[in-house]
Formats: sequence, C-alpha cells, structure tokens
Amino acid sequence: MRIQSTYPMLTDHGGLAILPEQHHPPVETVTIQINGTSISAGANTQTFALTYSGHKVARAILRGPFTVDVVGNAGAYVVGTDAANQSAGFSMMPSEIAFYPTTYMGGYSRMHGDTYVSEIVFGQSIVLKDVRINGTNLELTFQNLSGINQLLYCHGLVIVK
Amino acid sequence: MRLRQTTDGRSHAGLSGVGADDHHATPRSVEVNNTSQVIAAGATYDLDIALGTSVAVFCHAALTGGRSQTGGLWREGVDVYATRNAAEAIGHGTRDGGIYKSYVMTYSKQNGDARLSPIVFQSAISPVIGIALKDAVLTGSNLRLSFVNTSPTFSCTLWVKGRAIIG
Repeated sequence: MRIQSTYPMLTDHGGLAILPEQHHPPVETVTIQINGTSISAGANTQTFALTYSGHKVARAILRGPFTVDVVGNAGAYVVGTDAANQSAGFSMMPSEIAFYPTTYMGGYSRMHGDTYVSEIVFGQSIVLKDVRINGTNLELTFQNLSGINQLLYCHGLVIVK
Repeated sequence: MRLRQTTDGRSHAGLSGVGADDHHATPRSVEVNNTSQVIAAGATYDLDIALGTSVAVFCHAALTGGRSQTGGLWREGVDVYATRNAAEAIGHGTRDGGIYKSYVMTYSKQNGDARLSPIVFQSAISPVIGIALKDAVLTGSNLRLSFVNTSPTFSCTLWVKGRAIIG
C-alpha cells in the first residue's frame, strides 16, 4: 500500500491530479508594444502568446500615438473575454489629431452591436475591433478603416486571468 | 492506519502553514488616502500602500485628485495598472480643461512617458503648481505610488484618495 505524502507547499502543483490551469490559471500580464507596424485595409489580428490556458477575462489600458493637448496621449480602456465579439471599452480621441484641444469620448460594446471598441486612436484610420482570449493566445484585432495601408501604434498592458 | 484523503487542488482547507496568500493573492481592496504630504519643488514622494501579500503580480488602482485645477467642482484622477516591473506601468487619466474642455489621456511607461497621470494630485486649485503620478510598481508587499511635484519653484501638498485592488 502506498501512502500519499503531505504536500510541502501549496505553490507546488506537482503530484496533483489536475493541471495548474484547472485549479486556477495564474494571473498573467502581457505588455503590448506595437510601434509602427504597417497593416492593410480591413481587420488585422495581433497575437500574443500566454503561458496558461483557461483564462476567462482580459482588461487592458492601451495607448495610441496621438497627443491630446500636449498633456498625454489618446487611448482606450477595454475588457475582453474568452469568446469573440464580446469585448467592450471606453475610448477617447482628439477631434482634430494633435491640433485642436478637444476630445470625444465613447463607450462601446460588441455584444450590443457596436462594430468597434475604440475611437480612431491607434494610427490614422485605425480602431480596436475586438479583444479575445483564444486558448493560449491573447488576440487584439484592429481595423484599418481606410482603403490603404496604415501604420499601427499601440502600447499598453493587458491583465488576463 | 489512517490514509490521507486525496487533496482537492481547488481547496485551501486543511493545508498547514500555508495560507492562500502564499499561493496566490486573494482578491481584496485597500484604501489609498494621503492629503497632507508636502512635496518640495521638483521632488518626488513615494507613497507605499500595504497590500497584505507579496505574491500579487499586478494591482489596479483608481485614484482621484483634489478639486479640478481650473476650479470645477468635479474631481480629476487616473486609473493605473502596476506590476512588479516599473517599466510596465500604464495610466488612464482625466483632467479638467476649463470651459467646454475635458481631457482623457493614456500614459505608458513602456513607451517612455515621463509620468502616468495628468497633473491633478495637488490640494491647491492652481494651474501653476501641481503634482502628477510619476511611477507605480509593486515592491514586496506594497504598491508604491511615486508622486512628483512638477513645479520647479513652489512646494505643494499631495491630495490623493482612492482604492487599490488585487486578485
């Protein structure tokens, strides 16, 4: 007869019959650094690898390249899930990029029929379309609203758990 | 002889000497409140917020400053994410811009931004002197919020209230 030993540390999942991500996927932070990547017209998905699967929610603060009245940059606060087209966000942009010191702010929800979750803040004619956890990947889908290639800029931090 | 029952990996009960916080940070919130610290001209002050655990990998804090610097009755503030790497911090802040104007800005230390917020964390209603959140990082069991007085001439009193959450 084999007697099971006491687990020395709860931080050690070794010997458990389940995987760590079945217990609880550890919180992960993902830094986003896209600095002038050319994207074609239409939807473009940027993929970031996660260490664990099983994450259910993502939240992010993302910064674009356009200055708001020389005191900061326009960007977006977004949340996403492990399903497509469920994301939502707050976003703001200057009314005239880097010139006129007024901002517009909007709230968006893909679940409720909005096409995007951000204003045009990640490059000329570029919005954020969706945030999704897909297995062991974090997917940020941007949309180039123009008919020509544009440069994508996005810096930020995403928390997944 | 008594045989040990198979442990349910989702349960923390029955484990000796190991708290849940030794394993992963239990969700909780902690108050942020300092309305008296005087910061000299150009100086930085580190406000340490005790989180009660050293295993948190990120912290989300919602902070509000004093009354808007243009004299409005509303308050300005910032939403900030901090990790154990100060270079990863990011903020999402608001500032009153006067009549018909309000600003919402996003800041990224990763992108080299000098600060994480607009200049909104001063007690005085003044467009001349002011305090901004410069850095945010998890260090040990604390959330360290570093505020900088952006005035090169005048000392200024910090005014910040809010909530930090982990888990």
